[in-house]
Amino acid sequence: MPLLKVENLVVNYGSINALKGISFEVNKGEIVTLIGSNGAGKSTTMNTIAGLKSPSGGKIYFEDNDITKLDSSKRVKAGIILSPEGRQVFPEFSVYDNLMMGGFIQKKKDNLVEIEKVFELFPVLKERKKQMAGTLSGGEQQMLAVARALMGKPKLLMLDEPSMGLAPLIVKEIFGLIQRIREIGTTVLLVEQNARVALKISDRAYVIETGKIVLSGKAQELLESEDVQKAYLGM
Amino acid sequence: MSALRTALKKTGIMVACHINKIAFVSVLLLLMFPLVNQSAYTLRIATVAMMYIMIALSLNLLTGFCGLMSIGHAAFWGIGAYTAAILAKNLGWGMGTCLIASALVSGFFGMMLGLPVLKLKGYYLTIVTLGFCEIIRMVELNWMSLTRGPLGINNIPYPNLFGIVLKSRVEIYYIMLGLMVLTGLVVHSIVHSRIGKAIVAIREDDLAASAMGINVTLYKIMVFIISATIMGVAGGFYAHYIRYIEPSIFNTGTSMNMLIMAIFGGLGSIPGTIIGATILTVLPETIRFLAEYRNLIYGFLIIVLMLIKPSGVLGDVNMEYIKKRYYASKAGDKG
Repeated sequence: MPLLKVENLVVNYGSINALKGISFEVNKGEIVTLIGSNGAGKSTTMNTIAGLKSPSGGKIYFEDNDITKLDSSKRVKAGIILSPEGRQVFPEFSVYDNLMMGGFIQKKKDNLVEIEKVFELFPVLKERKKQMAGTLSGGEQQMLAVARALMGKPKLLMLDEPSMGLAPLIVKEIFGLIQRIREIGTTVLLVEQNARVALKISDRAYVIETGKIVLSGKAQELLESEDVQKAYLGM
Repeated sequence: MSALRTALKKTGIMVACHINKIAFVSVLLLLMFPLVNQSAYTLRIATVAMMYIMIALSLNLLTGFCGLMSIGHAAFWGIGAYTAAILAKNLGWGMGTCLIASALVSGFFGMMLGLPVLKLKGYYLTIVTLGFCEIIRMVELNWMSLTRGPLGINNIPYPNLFGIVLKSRVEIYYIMLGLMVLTGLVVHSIVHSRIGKAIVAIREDDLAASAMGINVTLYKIMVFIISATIMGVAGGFYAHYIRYIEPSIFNTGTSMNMLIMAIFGGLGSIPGTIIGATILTVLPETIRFLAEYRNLIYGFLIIVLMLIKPSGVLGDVNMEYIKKRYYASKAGDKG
C-alpha cells in the first residue's frame, strides 16, 4: 500500500488548467521527486496535496484514506507537512519561535522533545535559536524551513524547491540533510528544478510538463535517460 | 547627536525591561487622577481618551496583529451603542447587563460578517468592511420605530450598576478605566498566548501558517469576533456616557479616525496603541485655541509622523526582543 496515492488530479486556476489529470504514488520510506520546468504544475501539485488549493477533479489518498476534501489543518494532523516554496519562514519570529510554530498542532511538552531532535540534525539552528529568522542567511532560512516542517512529526514531508536561490555548496548540504531525514524514517516528496541534484538522492521520480506526467521511473534511469538529460540536465 | 541616541537606546531598554511595572504604575496613577483633578473638562477628555484606547486596542488586535484591515469598525461601535441605548431606555436595563448585551450583539454581527468574508484577503476585506459600515448606518437611519432614525436616541439613562445611578463624572471615569484595563489585559493575554502566535503567523505569511496546521479562516473569524465584541462594549459605554446617539456618529469617517489612532501608535504594539490613541484624543483638545487651524495641524502631524516613522510611534519596536537581547548580553558579560 502506497503512503500517498494521487489519482487523476485536475486543478484549475480560473480558466487555466494547471494540472490536467496527474497520477502518481509515494511509498513509505522513499524519496520521490517531481521534476519539471517553471509553470509545469509542480508547486500546484504540492499545494493541492497539502490542502491549500482545492482540486476540480481526481482523488488523493493518504494511508488508504480519501483526503481529497479534508481541511489543510487536518492533513497536517494526519502527517502531511509542506515546506512551501520560497522558504517562507516567519521573519519577525526568532528561530526558536519559528520551530515552535512548526509544532503548532502538538502539545508544548512534545515540542520541547522534538526541538532537541531537530537541533541535533541542524546544529546551526541551535546556535542561532534566539536570532530573528529574517536575519538568517538564505541557506540557514531554508534549513529553518525544513526543520520547522519536521517539528510537526510528518509521515510525509513535502519540500518545495529547497535549493532555490542557494549556492551549490549549501544545496549539497541541504540535500545531504534530506537523505538523513529519510534515514530517520520520514518519507520525502520533493519538487525541484535542479533535477541533477534531486535525482541523485531520489529513489524514483516523475517528470511533469504543462500539467501532465510525461515520464516516470527509477531516479537512476531518469538520470541516464536521453530525454531528461536534454531537457533538464542541460547536456 | 550620538549621545542623544545612546540615551534614547538606554531608555528604550529600560522601558522594555520594565514594561509591566510601567503599565501597573500608570494604572495606579490613573486611579489617583480624579483625587487631584476634579475638573469636569479634564475628566471628560481622560474618559474619552480611555474609550479610544479601548477601541484602538480592539482595532490593533485585528489590523496590527492579524493583518486584517477594517475601515468599518465604527459600525460595531454603533451596534453596541444602539443596543445599550435601546435596552436601557425602553426596557430599563442596568448598565452591566446592557454592556453584556452590546458585547453579544456586536460579536454576533462580527461573526455574521466574518463567516462569509474572511476568506477574502487584503483590500477585498477592507472594501467589505466599508460597505458593512454604510449598511449599518443606513439601517440605523431608516429603522424609525427602533432607532428613531436621524432624530437619534436622546435621554439615554445615566449609567447604573446594581440599581445605583452613577451621575458623577468621577464614577463614570472609573467605569471606563475598568473597561480599558480589562480590554488591555484581554488583548495582552491573547497576543501572548499560543493563539496570539498563530495570529501573528497568519499576518506574516498565511500560506506558511496553514502549512503548519493553523486553521487560518477559523482564527481570522475568532479575532474578528473578539474585536467586534470589544467595540460593542465600547459602544455600550459610549451610549450611557454621552446619553445621545444618532447614526452619523458611526460613519466611515469615525472608522478612519479609529484606524489612524492604531496606525499612529504603531500596528502590532499594545503600548504604541495606547500612546497613539492618547495623543490623538488629547492633542485636538489642547490646541483648541487654534480654532479652524486645529484640523490642519492634526493632519499635518499625521503626515509628518508617517514621513519620519511610517510604522507609527512604536510600530517596529519589539519589546520582547529588546528585553531578551538585553538579558542575553548581560548574561554574556558575566560569563
